[in-house]
Amino acid sequence: MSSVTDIALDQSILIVDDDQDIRESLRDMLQHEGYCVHVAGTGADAIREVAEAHYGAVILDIGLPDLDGHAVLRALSQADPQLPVIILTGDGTEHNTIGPMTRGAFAYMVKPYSSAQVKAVIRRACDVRALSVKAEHVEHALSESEERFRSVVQSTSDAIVIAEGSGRIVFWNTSAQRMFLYTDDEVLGQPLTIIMPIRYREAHQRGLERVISTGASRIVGHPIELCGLRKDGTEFPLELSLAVWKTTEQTCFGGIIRDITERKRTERAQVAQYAVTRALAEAASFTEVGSRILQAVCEGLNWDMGAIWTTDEPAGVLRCLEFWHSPTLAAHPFVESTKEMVFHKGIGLPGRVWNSGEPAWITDVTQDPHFPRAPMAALAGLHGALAFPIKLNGEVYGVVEFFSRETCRPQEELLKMLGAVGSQIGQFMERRRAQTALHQAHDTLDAILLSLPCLVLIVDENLRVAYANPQANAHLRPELSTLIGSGLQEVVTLPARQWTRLVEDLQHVACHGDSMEERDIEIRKHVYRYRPFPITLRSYPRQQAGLVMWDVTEQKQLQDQLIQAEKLSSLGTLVSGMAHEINNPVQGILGMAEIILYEDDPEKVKQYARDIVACSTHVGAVVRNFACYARPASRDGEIDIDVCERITEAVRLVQRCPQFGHVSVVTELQPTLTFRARRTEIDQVFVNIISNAVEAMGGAGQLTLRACLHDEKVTVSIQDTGCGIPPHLLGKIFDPFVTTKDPGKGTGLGLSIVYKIVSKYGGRIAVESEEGHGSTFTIEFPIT
Amino acid sequence: MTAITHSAEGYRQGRVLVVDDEAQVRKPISIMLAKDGYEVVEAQDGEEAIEALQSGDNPLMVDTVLCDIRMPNINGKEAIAYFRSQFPGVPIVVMTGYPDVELAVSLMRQGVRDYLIKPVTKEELLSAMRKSVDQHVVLKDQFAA
Repeated sequence: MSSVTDIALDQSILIVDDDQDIRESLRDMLQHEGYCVHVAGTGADAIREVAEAHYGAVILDIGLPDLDGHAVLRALSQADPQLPVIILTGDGTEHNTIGPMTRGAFAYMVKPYSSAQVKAVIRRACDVRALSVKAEHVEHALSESEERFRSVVQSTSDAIVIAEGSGRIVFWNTSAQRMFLYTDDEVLGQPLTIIMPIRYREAHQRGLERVISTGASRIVGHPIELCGLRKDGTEFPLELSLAVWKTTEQTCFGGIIRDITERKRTERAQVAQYAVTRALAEAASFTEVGSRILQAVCEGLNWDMGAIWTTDEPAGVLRCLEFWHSPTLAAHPFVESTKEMVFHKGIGLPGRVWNSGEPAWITDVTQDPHFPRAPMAALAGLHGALAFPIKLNGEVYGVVEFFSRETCRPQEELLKMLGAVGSQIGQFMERRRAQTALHQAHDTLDAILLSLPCLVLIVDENLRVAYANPQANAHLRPELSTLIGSGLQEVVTLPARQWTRLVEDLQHVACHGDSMEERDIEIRKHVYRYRPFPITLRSYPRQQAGLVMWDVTEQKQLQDQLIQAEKLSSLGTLVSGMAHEINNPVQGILGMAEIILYEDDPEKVKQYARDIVACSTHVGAVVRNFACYARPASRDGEIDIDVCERITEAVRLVQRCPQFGHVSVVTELQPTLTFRARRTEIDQVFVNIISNAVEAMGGAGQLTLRACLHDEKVTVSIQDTGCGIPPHLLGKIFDPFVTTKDPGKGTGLGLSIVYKIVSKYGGRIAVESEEGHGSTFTIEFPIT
Repeated sequence: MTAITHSAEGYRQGRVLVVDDEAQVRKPISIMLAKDGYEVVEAQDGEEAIEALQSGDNPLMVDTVLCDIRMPNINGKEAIAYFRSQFPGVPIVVMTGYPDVELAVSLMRQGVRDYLIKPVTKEELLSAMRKSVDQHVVLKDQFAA
């Protein structure tokens, strides 16, 4: 085995000769020259050696004992075509010299040879061998590089297009083929403009010329975004990285082209969606936001025109609510006609979307038989159209429509995004509607609160005013700009007792939630009736209570007048008694005065005069009594009422009536019962009930009057043995205009006024009655 | 209680029954009538008045009943109704402090001759009495004849 190494590749020599002397002499000589020498004695050994090792050159004796030297030469050439083989021959015949040369031998030497000749031939052979090995290396490296280049070029997803200086395509990879849809045959040799839209071709040509003439390109080294044209006529966005290089003959261009449809779409969709979201968030009304949305979407997605259609349900059509168009489309007939159009369900692109509730698109409206506006769209240069519904709870409220100069082939992503926009708009409309409704409700409530002839206050649990309508402000504390924050006690100044009751009432509604009875209070010379009401706020768990107050000053005056009127009407009944009570003594006075005129006996005259005095005194008392009763209560202040005295007085008043008849009176009156009230009002209560009782008894029966203190209350009961109250009237005996008396006999107001007076003093009145056996009225007045 | 009879200058004008519960009223009226020549019989309520008429031999001996309305026991209305049914010939003059048109109408319908409203002056009283008594005396004389 040889020990040839790569380093000594070109310096290793194989000597093939059957003559050992020649072999050894050559070996010595060449080894001395620095060569690495191997030897072989037979042709077969030589062939094996060459197959196994690499030699810089071979010296071959043509006359070998085992094999023909020519055959060995052939075998060696086959094994290593570049191996220089030097033929050694004894005879200088053509067959052994020129013959092998023609068959690939490097040189021949005829014995005897000089050592110089051998050295020169071997050196030359080794040099050639080295050169050829180098060439082989270079070629191999080149071929490997190209292989790598090709595989890279073909496997990349980016399209690579190489064009020569004239702009003709000389190479493109399979990605380019996929991207532009042309076959190699269709595109190679064609100008680059074939893969760009017509509108860019001129600019491209100018750029190309500039690069060729100046050698400089503005775009080399900077990826730029352009628009590509496919074989089928569709366009797509691309990013181009351009390289320019010069060969000896010309300038070449290489472009790495990336399809950025996806990236663009995502970017635009994001931008558009963000813009829509922002527009919706900032907008106050849909009209305001409509064109902003259209603009945002159009600019984001490179559309030239957009319109919002809203449904006009009564008319059954879609009407254009808002539209936006790129400046180049200003006043274009297509825009103008779109504004004017209406679409019925199922007709036109908007009508179809309205009908289906799903997005729809038209790749090229100018080619679509169902697009009524096609001729004008063609004029405007619009091709692609896309529309999607504005949906609200599954119902279509409108349609948004877009047009593009480019043909439209929407992707799933885009439709999803537009669906989101549609529902965003829908939600916006819904929200706006809800807000509007809320505002309206709020305004309505405000208007109601402002126009109510009532004072409305809301207080928190600390009795601070949380809300007051302007009326409350104006009536209670006009000098303050607002009542909110003030303590209720500063706003509503009341005597201690009424204040305590008000606070109790407010606490009661705040805790129990039910509305209380109405009460009257006097503030700043006005009488207000108030009713507390509970306030339950979901967001405000603290206890609040409301107070609605209305000015009943006038009503109170009217009520006083009514009480007075009823009293006067009941006086009509009493007056008969009065007339008798007065006229009788007057008759006495008159009669005695008459007889005095003829009486001579001074004693008798004196007696008559005394009688006259007595009669006159009586008349005076009756009139005074009567006048007191008739007096309007409103002129009185509240005093301590002596209950027994007032009952007795009332009986005396009623007793004078003719209908009093033979009624017997029983009294069980506990002395020194007092409470505070207006005297005449209390008189009216007693007189009214007693005269009713007397009337019910028809001149015969027993009137029982009781008064006592029971449970901190003055309790008065007035019982008669009269006809009683029919059960069907018992429940409404205190209602106005309810009477048990014959028509024309009673106003039906008496007991209703009794009820009002009793309530006014915080008292209660109740009645028990059995028809045919009499009635008992029980009245309670609190003494505090 | 029995009727009190006033007789001043003898029985000259006729006999009158004065019915009133209040002495202050009844007495001066009786005195005025007596001074004018009437024989006066007094009663202080309806019950006494009825007794007075029934106890006499002849009810026609009373030429006029002057009667108050509002009285205890049997009141004026009840008494008048009784007189009209039992002694229709005796004229009745009502004297009341209770000016009630309805009552007046109803009493007149029952045949009451006159209706005086207190206070009544001496002239009104005597004039009403004279008309009533004179008429009755005429009727009585015709009846007696």
